[in-house]
Amino acid sequence: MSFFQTVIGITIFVLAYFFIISGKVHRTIAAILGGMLMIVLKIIPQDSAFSFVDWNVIFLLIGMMIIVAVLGKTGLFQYLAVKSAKMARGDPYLIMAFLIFITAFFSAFLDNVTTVVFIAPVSILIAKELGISPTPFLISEAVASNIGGTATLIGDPPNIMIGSAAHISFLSFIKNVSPPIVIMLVLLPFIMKRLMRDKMTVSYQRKAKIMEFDTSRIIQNSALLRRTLIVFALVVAGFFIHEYIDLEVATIAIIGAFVLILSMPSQKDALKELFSQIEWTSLFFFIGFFIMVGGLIELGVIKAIASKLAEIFHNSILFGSLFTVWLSGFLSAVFDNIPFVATMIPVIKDIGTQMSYQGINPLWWALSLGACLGGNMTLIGAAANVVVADISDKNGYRFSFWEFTKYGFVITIINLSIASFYIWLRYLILI
Amino acid sequence: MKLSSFLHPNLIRINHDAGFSESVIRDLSREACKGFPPEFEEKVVTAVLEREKQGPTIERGVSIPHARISDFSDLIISVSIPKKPVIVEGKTVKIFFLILTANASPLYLNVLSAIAQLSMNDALMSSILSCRKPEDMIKTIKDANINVKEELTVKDIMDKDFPSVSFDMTLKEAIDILNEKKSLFALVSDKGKFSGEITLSGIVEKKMPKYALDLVNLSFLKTFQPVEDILKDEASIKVGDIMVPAKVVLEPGSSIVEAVLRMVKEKKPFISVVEEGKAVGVITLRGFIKRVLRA
Repeated sequence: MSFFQTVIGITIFVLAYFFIISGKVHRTIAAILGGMLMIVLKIIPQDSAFSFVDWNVIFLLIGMMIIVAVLGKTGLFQYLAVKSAKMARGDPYLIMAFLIFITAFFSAFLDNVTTVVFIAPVSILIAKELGISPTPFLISEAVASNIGGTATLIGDPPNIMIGSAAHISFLSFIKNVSPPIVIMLVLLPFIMKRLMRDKMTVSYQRKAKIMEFDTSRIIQNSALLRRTLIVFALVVAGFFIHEYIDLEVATIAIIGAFVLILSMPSQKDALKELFSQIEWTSLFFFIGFFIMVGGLIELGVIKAIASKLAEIFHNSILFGSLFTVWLSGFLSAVFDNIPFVATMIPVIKDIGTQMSYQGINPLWWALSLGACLGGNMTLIGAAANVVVADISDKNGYRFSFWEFTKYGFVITIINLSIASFYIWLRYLILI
Repeated sequence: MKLSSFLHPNLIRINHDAGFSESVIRDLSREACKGFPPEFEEKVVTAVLEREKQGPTIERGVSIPHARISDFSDLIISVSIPKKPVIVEGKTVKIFFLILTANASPLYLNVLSAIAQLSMNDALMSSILSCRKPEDMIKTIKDANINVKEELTVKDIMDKDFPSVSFDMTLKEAIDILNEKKSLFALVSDKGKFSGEITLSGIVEKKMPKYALDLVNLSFLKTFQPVEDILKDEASIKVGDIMVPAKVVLEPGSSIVEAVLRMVKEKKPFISVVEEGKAVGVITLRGFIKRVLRA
């Protein structure tokens, strides 16, 4: 590769990244055109460019998007939210805790944005019936979805990319990342209660209204729900054992999704409707960005960054990991974590070849924890936050960047500290 | 095409000796069905009489019995001038035009409007009635230059008397108008210019909280305040706040085919018809069925 090509390649990448961050061009268009430009300008040949696209990531996302679309239609999320409000007998703090756990659980296995899209409207309804502002519920849900999503390999796109690129199994991901997540989730209702104190007082009369909700009528197609839950459970079970049956998660997700479609009364209608709910823009963003990063790898730019970082880490995995947690945490607070993680993955892989490969696993956990949790720091840090703010705004409850951020920041600093402590304790002390 | 081109001397009876509408129809049908098997004639007579029962089409002394015939692909106009005017449902008829068309032919309406045009012209009518020979009648009609359009346009079947509200009316006044007109929608005009549409479902949708629309269902609620409050502030809301600009409008000259396709594609039961920025009518699926398919 000539110097000239390297300059062109880096320029394309930086410009596309700038457009993505600034939002001046839609991120999908910027990534795809950036990737294509790299092919046109002979930075990377087309076949090699396409081989950099991680199809395991793309097909896993497609499969899960289809399953979640069906699950949402069944009314399950609405049922669980209303049921938990009744179980809490209308106590707003208890409802908030339930909503946090429901959201976190589903976000761990499903797309965060989709989970909050399903849970937010019913939360607003519950808050309205209680006569309180829905903002505490909604902020809690956005935060919980980002924390919950961190727990598994399929919970959040950065994890999907990391797991796929580093060949980490689903089970190994859970074993290594979920312990601090469980702690964070248990703490979250207490932190939120403390931050939101005195904001939610509810009369007994209002609580009585919640008790009048008739949950028996929410699920209208119980056959569909049963089928969907069976498929969902089988898919998750498949994830747990995928390394033993020697299958990638994408294969399992796609099989689950299409078996579910196969079970529909009208396959043609189901295909049409469900395919329209696949977020093609996100998928093409991934494809474009994979190609651009591929270009940087071909140019040797990634290798150079890795060498530089390895130097900064002073060959200390502890320093490197803590550095990665906080760097990715703060960067993800302001920028989209997907392009950042997509760029960091080959860098860390390369560091692995320079340091011992087994030894770099803490770096992967650090990248995952930092990038996923960091999204909670500001309103624009994660897609789920933005979507929740949008839904809230549409319903006449606008919350500003700072209103979210003042809660998100505190929570994220606590979470990143827990993550750092965990990595230090588990990988470097208890070895 | 000229109306006269559809006429044939063999199908015109002048000085027709018939006392009743039914006998005129039978005689004209017999002429029209020459060459067809006898059961076809019976089918035609039954169809025409059946249609007449729903209310005969009589205007200014002209009666137009007609029917759409299945398994038939022609347009036949058969004319009779009875010796003495025939009284049909209290109206005096001096001339009969029997029209037979194919099941889905748009021509019928156009022929009808051509004949209506003819009946409006008193001078022409009296010269037609004074014709002694079928050929003379055809020539008279030919000279009058009355045309039959070959296709229907929106203008032919649109409702000209449509519910209309103005941009700065209150929602309350608008809903009163919808109620009174028994309509689910109205066209909105701002200082005489067409500016959009309101629909009852659109009003309700706009007044429902967004989160409620995002839920899978609301079956777990027995009462829901926002539903009860939908019209709470109807007196203070302006039509302009609640109307939506029309995604599609048609011109009076647009074809019926386009109108129907648009309604189906947009899943709308009506489309506003706008000419030079002014609402001039509305085309509805109901109107299409009534004026074209069941005409």
